[in-house]
Amino acid sequence: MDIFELLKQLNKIEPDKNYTLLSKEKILNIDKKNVEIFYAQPKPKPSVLLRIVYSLSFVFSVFIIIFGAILFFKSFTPNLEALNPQAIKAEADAIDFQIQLSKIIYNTPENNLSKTVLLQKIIKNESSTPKTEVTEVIEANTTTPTSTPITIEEVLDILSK
Amino acid sequence: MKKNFFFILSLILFWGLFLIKISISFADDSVLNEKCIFDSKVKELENVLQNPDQNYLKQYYLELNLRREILSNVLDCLIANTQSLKENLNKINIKNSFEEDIKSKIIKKLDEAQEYYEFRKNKVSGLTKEGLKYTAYSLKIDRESRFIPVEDIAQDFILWKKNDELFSFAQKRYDEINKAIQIFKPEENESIKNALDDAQKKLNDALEKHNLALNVISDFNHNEAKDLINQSLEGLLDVYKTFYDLSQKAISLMKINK
Amino acid sequence: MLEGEKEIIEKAKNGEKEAFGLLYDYYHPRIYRFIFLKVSNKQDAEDITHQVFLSAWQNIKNYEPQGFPFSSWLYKISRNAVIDFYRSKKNEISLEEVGDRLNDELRIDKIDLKIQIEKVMKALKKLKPEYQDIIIMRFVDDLSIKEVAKVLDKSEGAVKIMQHRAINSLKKLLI
Repeated sequence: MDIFELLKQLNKIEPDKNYTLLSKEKILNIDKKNVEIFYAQPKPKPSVLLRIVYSLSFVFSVFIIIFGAILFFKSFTPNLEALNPQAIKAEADAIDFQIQLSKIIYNTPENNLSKTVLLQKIIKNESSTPKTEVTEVIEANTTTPTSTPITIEEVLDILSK
Repeated sequence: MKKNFFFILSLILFWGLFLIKISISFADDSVLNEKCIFDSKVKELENVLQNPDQNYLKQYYLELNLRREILSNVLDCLIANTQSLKENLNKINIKNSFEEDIKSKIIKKLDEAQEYYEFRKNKVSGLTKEGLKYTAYSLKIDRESRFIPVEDIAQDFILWKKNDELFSFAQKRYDEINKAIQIFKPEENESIKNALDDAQKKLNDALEKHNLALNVISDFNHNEAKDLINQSLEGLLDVYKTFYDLSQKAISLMKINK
Repeated sequence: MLEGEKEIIEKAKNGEKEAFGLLYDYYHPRIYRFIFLKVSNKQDAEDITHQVFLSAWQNIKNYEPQGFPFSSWLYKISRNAVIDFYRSKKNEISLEEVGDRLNDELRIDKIDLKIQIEKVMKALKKLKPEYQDIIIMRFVDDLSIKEVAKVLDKSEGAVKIMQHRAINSLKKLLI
């Protein structure tokens, strides 16, 4: 029997009928019980309650008024800076840069020092793109090298013969 | 007098520390520089093998010493690279327990790799020519099956974390654009509304691939991680093209309204 | 999906017990099954299933049907309930006991089939929780990709990928 047919067999697992009926009864009668419990609790004195409610309402209203005022004034000054094309282009450049970085890292052999150095610099400059330092490395990798350095795997191959 | 003295002292301290930091970073790079270049020694070995000395013993020891030296350098390079990867991973800003779990798993495997390399390194000086050949062979096999996959995943994770920052900026940019664009009443302007919806859809798609990449990294699946990382970045770049279009639409609308 | 489910849910949201009772009768076996396959203990599965339906009845007013199937809602509550259960109880059932518990739940006569099913259940327990959930919901309970996606808060594409990986992982454990 294949795995899917075996899993289908697990469909036969069923709960106990008595438990199912009991559980259903308890759940559907739960509302009544909750109402009884609520009325059974001793209620606090009205004056204390009222005081708490009034203070909370006052604090809440003050908060709403201040918040509303802030929103009201803010609505007249929408942040159009978000649509600044230069800022958008700068962020897009950062992404493009990261795409190039990834290509280099994925295409560079294991022991090439520029890859390790690149990864180090990505970490060191976490909150900003390490453009000047890394641009040199990108340029070094994109120009045709006169000779590619021998990789670790190639060295081990030679040493094992 | 006192003021000048403290001013000069603080200048000296600042520049002194700055120079020390620079020299440490150069030292890091130069350590890797020395350990990971094998071309000249390999050429030397090839030369010795192709032009053997008539004296058998002299030839034997020439070859043996070169092999020992090269293998020792290879192991030093691997140890330095592994150490560097671990240091990079420890510097990452971890956000939650899932990322912490991935980082710990990778570091544990890198520790195993380092232990392995150090163990082999300690044996090199006592090995014969045949022993060195066999060690090089098993090192190659073990790297292919065990250690290179871990290095690949470590680099995937480092790249992913950097991309995560870019995604946070993109989300923030989208939220701000969404707020700002409301003055142009997108519900009445179909072109603006479509562009906004398009940006959101593209961002969600790219983000989904980005999040899936982390799940795949957690499974140590490098090939799939690499694809998803690349696709998520390409997708994100596409989102910014839409942002740029939106900004151009907004500018032209503002010119009309003037 | 239950026939006329939309109307039944509306009535249940308005507090009609009989309506919720119909939903309970329809979904209870599958929710119980889902939970049992995750905790492998009849008593615990009964307790957790009871909690799930109690929570569903108490919170049905907050359930919004738009784009979110009722089954997905129930499965989501069940997943969270199982996670809470494991957080509060440190003792995990051993895999050897899985087979014994299965005897009570599965009415299967053929011994060799029972043995195969036990193996599948043990292997299922070794999978990542998300993979377990996907396999149970998709291949035991026949939920659609859309329903599963809503339960797991993932896209349908992501669920398809995870399903593929879950089955591969399960197959590897059964070799």
